[in-house]
This record gives sequence, structure tokens and C-alpha cells, in this order.
Amino acid sequence: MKEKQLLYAIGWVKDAYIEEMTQPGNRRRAGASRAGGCG
Amino acid sequence: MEEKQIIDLYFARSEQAIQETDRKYGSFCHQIAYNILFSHPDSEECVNDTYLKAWNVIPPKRPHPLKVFLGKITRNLALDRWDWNNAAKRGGGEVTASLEELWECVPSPMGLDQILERRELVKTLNAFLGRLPEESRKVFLRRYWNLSPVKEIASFYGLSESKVKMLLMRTRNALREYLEQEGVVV
Repeated sequence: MKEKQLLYAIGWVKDAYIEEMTQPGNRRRAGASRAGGCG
Repeated sequence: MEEKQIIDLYFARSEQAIQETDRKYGSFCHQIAYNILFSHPDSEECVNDTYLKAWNVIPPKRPHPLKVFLGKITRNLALDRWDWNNAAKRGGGEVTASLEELWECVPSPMGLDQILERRELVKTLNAFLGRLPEESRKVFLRRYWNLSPVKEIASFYGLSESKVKMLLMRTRNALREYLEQEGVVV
């Protein structure tokens, strides 16, 4: 199953990318407003 | 406790290393295993096996960042266990859905096996990820490294679920194109 190989390979990408992934995002970006959601 | 202090405990062969590892990274590892296995007891075993593996390789290894090192071990152990569970028809979690989604990225039924070894594939993936905007990269890895459900990804990054789905779809399409461009096609 080739997609499984891909899934396993994703497990070995650079540590920096994984570390980056573990950082939560800003809940609201500057300038974003409740009424003005951009979809 | 800081990562360096925890590593020092491993080097001192103090069993407190395991306790501190569990305190600091236990929930992170458990969540990875649970996303894959959908079973708390199985996830708990994977996390314990992760600690055992860490205990056996530190020293001499001094991993940094420890969190990522532990997460990688947990992910692999959980995927192996998922394989075993799945063979026994007890599979579950986000793996099946992720595999179905990733199927779209595989350009050819024979491509990955024959053309690229895993190491080369990882290199290609790293190059691909390096070209992505940070947001797309984080969402992609949260889905396919962490095996998180879309809802959790949206909540974690403060995005709408539809945006997460859109980013994932675009990134999968881009990955497929990139793999084709890199010759991952028969």
C-alpha cells in the first residue's frame, strides 16, 4: 500500500517542522474582526 | 523541568527521568498514540514503550528536541500496533481516513516502491515542506504526522474547519504534483 509508505515517511521529516507544528496558532490575526470573516 | 535536566537524569540513570518525561511530554505522546489507535489502554502501552526505548538509547544518544524524539518513537510504535490491530480487524482512529486522503498524493500504483527508498522520499518531502507557507505546512503535518482530526486542527490553530480542509486539499494536490515533478512516477 503506497499511501502507507507515504504516511510512514512523513513520520521522518525534519524535526524543525514537527516542532513548528506543535506550536499553536494565533487565535485571531491582527486586523481580523468577528464580522469580517474572510471565509 | 527543562529538557536538558531531564536528559541529564537519563545520563545519571535515574528513574526520575521517566517520571519527569511523563510529566512534561506524556500527554503529547498519548495524544499521538490515541489519534492512531483510538484506545486509551493501547495508547498507554505505546507511551510506556516509548519511555523504555528512550531509556535504552539515552545515553549515549542526546536527542534534541526531546519532545520530537519521543513523538517520533510513539508515532512509529502506534502505527506498528495499528497495523497489528488492523490485521486483527480491530483498527480505528484517524489512520484509515489519513491513508485514504494520502492515496490522492501517490501518482502511480508502483511509483514509491520502485523509484524511491524511504530516505529519498523523506528528502523529497522535506524539500516539498520547505516550499510551503508555514500555515499550510503546520496544518499538513498536524493532519498526517500527528494524525489529528480536522476539528482538532482547526481549534489548535484558530482556523475554521473549512479552511483546514481547503488547505489540506490544496497541499495534497501540490504534493502530488511535486512528487510527479520529482519523478515519483513510473
